Amino acid sequence: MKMTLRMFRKLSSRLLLVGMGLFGLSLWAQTSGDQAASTSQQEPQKDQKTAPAKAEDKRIQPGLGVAVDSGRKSDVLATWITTEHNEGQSGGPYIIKQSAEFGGRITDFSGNPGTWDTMVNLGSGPRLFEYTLDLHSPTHTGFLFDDLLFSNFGYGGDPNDFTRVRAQKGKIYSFNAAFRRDQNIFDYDLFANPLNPASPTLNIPILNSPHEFLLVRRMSDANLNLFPVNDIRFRLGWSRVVNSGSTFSTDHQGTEAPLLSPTSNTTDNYLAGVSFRFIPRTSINYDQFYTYFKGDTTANLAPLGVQNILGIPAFTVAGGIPVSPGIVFNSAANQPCNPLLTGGVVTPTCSAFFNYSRFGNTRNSFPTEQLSFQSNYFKRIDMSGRLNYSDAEANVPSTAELFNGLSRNRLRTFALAGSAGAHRLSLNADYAITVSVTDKFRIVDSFRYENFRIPGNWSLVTGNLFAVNLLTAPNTFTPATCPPPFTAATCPQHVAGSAADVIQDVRNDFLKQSWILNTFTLEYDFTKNITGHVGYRFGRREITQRIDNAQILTFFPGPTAALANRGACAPAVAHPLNPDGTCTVEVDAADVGEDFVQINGQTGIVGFAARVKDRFRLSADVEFYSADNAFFRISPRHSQDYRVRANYKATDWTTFGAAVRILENRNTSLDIGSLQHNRSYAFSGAFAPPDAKWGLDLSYDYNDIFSQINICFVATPNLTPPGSTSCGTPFLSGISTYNSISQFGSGSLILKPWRRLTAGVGYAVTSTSGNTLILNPFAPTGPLAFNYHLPTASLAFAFSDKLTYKAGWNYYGYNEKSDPGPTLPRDFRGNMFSMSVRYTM
Amino acid sequence: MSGKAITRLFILVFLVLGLVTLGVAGPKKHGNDKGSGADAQASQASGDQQKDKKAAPSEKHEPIDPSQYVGAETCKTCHEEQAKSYDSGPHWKTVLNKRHGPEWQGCEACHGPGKAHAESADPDKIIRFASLSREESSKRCLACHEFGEEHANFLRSPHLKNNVGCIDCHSVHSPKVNRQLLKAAQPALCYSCHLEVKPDFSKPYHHRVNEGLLVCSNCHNQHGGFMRSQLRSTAAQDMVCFNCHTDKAGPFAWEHAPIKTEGCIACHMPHGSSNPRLLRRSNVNLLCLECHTLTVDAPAPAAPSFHNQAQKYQACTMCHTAIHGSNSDRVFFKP
Repeated sequence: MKMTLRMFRKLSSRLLLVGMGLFGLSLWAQTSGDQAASTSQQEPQKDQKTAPAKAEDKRIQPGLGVAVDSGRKSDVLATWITTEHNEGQSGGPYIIKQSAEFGGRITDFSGNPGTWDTMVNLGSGPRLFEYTLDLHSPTHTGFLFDDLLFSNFGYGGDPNDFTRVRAQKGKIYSFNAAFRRDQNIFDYDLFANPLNPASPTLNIPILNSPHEFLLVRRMSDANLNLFPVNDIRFRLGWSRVVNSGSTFSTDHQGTEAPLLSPTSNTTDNYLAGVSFRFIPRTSINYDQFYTYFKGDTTANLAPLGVQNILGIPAFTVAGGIPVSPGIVFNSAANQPCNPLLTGGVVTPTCSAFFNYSRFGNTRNSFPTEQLSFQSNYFKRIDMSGRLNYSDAEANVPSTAELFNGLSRNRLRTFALAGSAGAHRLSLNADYAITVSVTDKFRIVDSFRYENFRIPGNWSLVTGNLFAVNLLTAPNTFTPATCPPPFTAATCPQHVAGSAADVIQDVRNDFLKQSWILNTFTLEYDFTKNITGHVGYRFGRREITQRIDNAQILTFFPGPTAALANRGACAPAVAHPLNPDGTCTVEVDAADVGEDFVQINGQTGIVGFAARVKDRFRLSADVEFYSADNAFFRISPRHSQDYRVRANYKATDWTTFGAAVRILENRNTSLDIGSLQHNRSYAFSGAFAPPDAKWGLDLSYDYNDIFSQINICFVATPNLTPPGSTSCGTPFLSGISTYNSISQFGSGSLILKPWRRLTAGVGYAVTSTSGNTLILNPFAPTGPLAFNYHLPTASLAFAFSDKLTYKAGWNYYGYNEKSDPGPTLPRDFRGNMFSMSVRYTM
Repeated sequence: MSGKAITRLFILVFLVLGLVTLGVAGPKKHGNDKGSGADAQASQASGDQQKDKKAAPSEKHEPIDPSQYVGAETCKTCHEEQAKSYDSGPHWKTVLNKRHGPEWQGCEACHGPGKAHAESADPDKIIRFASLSREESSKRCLACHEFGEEHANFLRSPHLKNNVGCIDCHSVHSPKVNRQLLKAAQPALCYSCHLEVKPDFSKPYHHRVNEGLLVCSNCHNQHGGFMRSQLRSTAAQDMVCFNCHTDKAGPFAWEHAPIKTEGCIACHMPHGSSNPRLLRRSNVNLLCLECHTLTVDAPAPAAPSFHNQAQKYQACTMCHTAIHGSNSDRVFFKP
């Protein structure tokens, strides 16, 4: 399938090249004809043609600032102009502005197609780069609308399509709607890859990520506001998110079998709200939301053809029956067995899958209501508040799972069925108030209360059948086929480690968080342009997690009577057998229990901001956080957050900027020892002379991400990291470190040497280096060190005031510096040429 | 304390706070905001306009003098360019608000009464936004725009605290994006200050902001809000991520607790990352082990002894595939 697609892409790119050339020639001929025709027009008309051309000079201003990956969207090209810059034409009560940019892309790349699709995913073919229709009634006398904007981009094959409609009619309504499509491909071949060692087993490298996916997310929304300037205002809204496509996954049953998961879930959101403004300077709003989620994703053992994409050859057992021994091949660790092949077919005692399927349609509904207000009814007091209550319900009325193969301890098949459900009850309240004590001094308090609790439960029944190997049919336990003393060949073929034959699993989970947060701030204006604030935030979180899991396990006998007293039913003295020779026991799952954590956190806040004649602006914020506890090891008990930003407008066309963000987190508890920081230092310069002949945009960022934390792990026999000590056999204690230094630089230069010509070049590069603790000796460092180059160039030539020919070039170069390991190198290099014609009216 | 008791306590606190607010401030005498005040204070339209500028945010708490307002048509006679942008923008709609007074309509809704300025042509006799502090100018905008959840907390927003007011992003008379009157389109507008955020969207794995699929304001309410980092949320006040990643929202019968308590950012970098799936670490196992390590009083269970890092699989999520929550498996093997 992929091959076919690539052939089509190559063919289409050649056709496109020919087509674009012909299209360009025809435009040139047409424009020449237009010019010839125009010379024969009367002088005043000539003047009229000249005037818009001058206006065009003013309109076509280079769009600075986004030099990155500019091929992705036409209006961030260096020659950015929008329909809003058009002069427009009169039509009825409207000024009509319209533009269409049509063309295509020619893309060619070499290297890893999975990484290319993951990061770039731009192919060849014709494209509608942009179409915009803008109707505006300057006299506000339109019939159905005074303003209408319809715009879109990306159609024809780009991974991102966008359409927007906005309309409004005076004080009657305003409406906006949008549709977005995002094709999202993920195939980073190291992700979830078992990195099979080259020896001492079959060398079967998994070439693609076993968890790759090809999904398309379609997002639609529409919002209607009625009577937007009245004392009573209504709003209605709807949105939908549809996520569909294919996902690869894996299932763990003695081995890791590749699954193909047709993904389909749909979420609809509805809104109805009303605002009342009868009280002066006060708005009271009531909103009712309803969200409905439909999850219909299923999973099946990946077909052989799909497994081949991962690099897995076809396997069979004796008799030629296809079987999947999974994707992990490491005979030294008996994965899936040793040896995998006996006589050219899979060893029958190997863990392997003949078949697997799973489904469980999920239906979630979220009714939510919200009451909010905002008021400055009192002269020096401004306040707002919100009360939000939601009772979400998740329902999986019927879930089922079927396995046919061989797993641990002779598990030959199993069937699981049951139902599950959960609620999420949340109550949130916010209240914020600003009291202006004087014109310069303000007291601000913001209070937030969050409370959610999620009780969940499931009731599942699993029936297991056992057999000695893949070639043997499993036996069921019935008095007829397996009479006492339960040694017949037709009895279930258990071993001592075999799981229960029937598992009734009833589970009740509970997760709750209650969070009270109050921020008190004093703000003072030293002058009109210099302000400062100090504050204090107190937060108390209480988190409760409770697990109540009762399992009723039934063990059948066979091939000996004593094997009914295995597992949780052992020893026999403590667990007498039932009259039919089976053993039943009720046990709690290993994770049953309750955790309660209270965290009291205090934060000091200091900040100031200064502005000098709009030329220079400086702001700084610091927050110091300290807590007496943390829920998770990675959550900080102490942190400092520093933010400094400065902008300096040296001249009307020269602006410099700087930003520093330093976030330091730590939890220095002896057994955790967590130290983390994320430090970023960024600088920018923008130059745009008033003659609009050229513009330059530069930026640089240095980002340092660091983390270290004590961990316990098992890694034998290959690994003993420096500094490791035992933390209880067989665990080793070590320091997990992660450090990523990332440098980013970008620049774009736009030149407009002649009235009709605009050219731009840009370059952006991200270069990272770093290190981390490597626990798996097979694992390459992957994306810790790479260079990602994104140069770009563009050219626009205006044939007339209505017609512009545009061409662009983008290069994408991703170069990972690490050894690829037993996977394909993840580097790629690609060129993309885009050509288009923009017509405006 | 039970959930019901906390709920009741909260309601009580909420009511007390409201009552205290009412008691301390007390409703002061002022004319209604529909412009009926006839006993105008001459000073408001007098030459002392600079004083009015400082008092501007609260001036509509005081009676206004309709005779000091000249109407938009008068302004247009001199300010033709500005009038053109006013007509083509959304603010022309203020003239439809006939039931309210002249202080809510046309140019003077923002610039204050214009009679003294029109008669003298003295620029000091009209309110000019450039001469106001960011808070003063923003309050003038908020006089109309504050009444909705979007702008309800701008006065308390980090932007205004850092002296970034409405006019730093919006231009009423020469916008680059007409509908929202923006000075530049997103994300370039946001990048102009948030320089350290821009590189994240050029990393190999990033949300598609530069591509135009998303804008910053899809996730952040740039006008403030009740949440930290000016984040938006779902309607049910859950994390904003779930607005698009709906299949991760749950609720699940068995939740992976940090997702609900710490948020998606416990494991993911929301803007962009060097690591696949926007993860915080290049190696999934280390990310998991940072929590799933035996620690006193930690709720996350430690990884069991048979998880041999030297020989087994590279990624924990290879088996624990349903890591965002499960309705059928207590170790997240399946959804």
